[in-house]
Amino acid sequence: MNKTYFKLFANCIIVKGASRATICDLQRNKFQLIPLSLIDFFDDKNLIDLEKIKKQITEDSIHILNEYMDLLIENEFIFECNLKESKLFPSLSMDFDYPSTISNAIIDYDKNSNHNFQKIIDEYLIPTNCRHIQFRFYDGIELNYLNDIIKIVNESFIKSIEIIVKYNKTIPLERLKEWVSENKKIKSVTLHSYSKNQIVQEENFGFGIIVAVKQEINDESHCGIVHHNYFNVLIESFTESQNHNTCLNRKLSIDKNGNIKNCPSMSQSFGNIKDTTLEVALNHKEFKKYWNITKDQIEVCKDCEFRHICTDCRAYIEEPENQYSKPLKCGYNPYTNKWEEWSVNPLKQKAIKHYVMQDLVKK
Amino acid sequence: MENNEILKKKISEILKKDSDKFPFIAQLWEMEIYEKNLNHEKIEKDLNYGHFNTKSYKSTYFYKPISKIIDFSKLNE
Ligand code: SF4
Repeated sequence: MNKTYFKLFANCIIVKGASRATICDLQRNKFQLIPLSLIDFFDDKNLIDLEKIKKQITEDSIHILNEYMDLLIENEFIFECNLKESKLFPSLSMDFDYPSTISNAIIDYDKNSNHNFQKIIDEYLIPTNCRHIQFRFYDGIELNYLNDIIKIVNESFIKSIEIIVKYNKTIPLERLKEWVSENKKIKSVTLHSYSKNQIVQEENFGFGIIVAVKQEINDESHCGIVHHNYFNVLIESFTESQNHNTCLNRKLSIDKNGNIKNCPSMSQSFGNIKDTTLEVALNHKEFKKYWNITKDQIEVCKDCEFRHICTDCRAYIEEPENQYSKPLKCGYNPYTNKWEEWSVNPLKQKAIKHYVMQDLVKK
Repeated sequence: MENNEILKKKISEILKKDSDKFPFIAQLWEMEIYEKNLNHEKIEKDLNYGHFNTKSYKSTYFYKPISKIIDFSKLNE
């Protein structure tokens, strides 16, 4: 009779951290925390030989083994098969590619900005085949102004836009809901500096979500937050993270002053949209310097079980002079498995001062 | 702008006629013409193809957070 094994589904990938691990289910977009001892059950072909393990462990540990097996089976991480069948399930390719030079862009704007959005879209985004943009308005803006921008977007190949804008009374919420429903390329509108946290409109049959938050966002220094709500268990981001930076790879940003950057929070500029062409910026020898910094190279993150589902930040880091140091705004410790408030960590105070964030962290 | 529309029509005709060189669906490809400002004197026109319905309002999300500026830890306050 054929011996029975249990094989890990190809879309379920184990990521080992310093003191626990995750199984990332790239098909169901969820992850499960598991103890390190459970990883040892799998051989190098991701097979569990239950009979063999039972012989190796003590009687007392059998119930733990059974619990582990229940967890793996209930979540459909493993399936039963024989050795011959197991060979029919090759592992998933971890190759990543994306059909554009720039895959996503951030455009920042405040009351002193004077961007020509038509020019930005025509000359900086369309030629790179960039299809996804986030607009961040630090000050209040009229709905008519936003409407002019969305008209340009609607006429282009841009696929989705996200808008973060300061709440102001000239944007009545009812009118905003209608406007978002009329313009389906708008995936989300976040109103900041609102009186309370509120979901104004749920995402519904392709209509964009509208949320209002109390948080006041008056400049780019608010960015770079590492929070589990930003974790992303998708095959695209998981494979991208194997060889690329999950935040900056193929990103282009225009800051509030029109400077072309990797990220608006970074100081390095590759020229201004007033006088620098896309070609000049993209061909700058340092434009892509962060694109291939992976979490496996970053201190602390390389020992973290979340490293392939966590979006990185290179703009604000614990040691500003060390480009491989951990994101400043992460409060997770993969050695103790505890989340703590990052801004009160004594080891981060030097960097907080360096980035002049003292006022921001007080809020 | 009008010139670009005429150009698009002409390209469409070429795609329609040349069924050996292009897939039959090519005549439905959408086009976007943009100007490449190579340096300040020389401007070159370039062309992007999108598949049928690329401009459709039915759009997709980007696969990861574009930025991380919303502080989720403050949402329960
Ligand atoms: S330690 Fe690194 S990988 Fe882990 S949650 Fe923090 S930033 Fe993300």
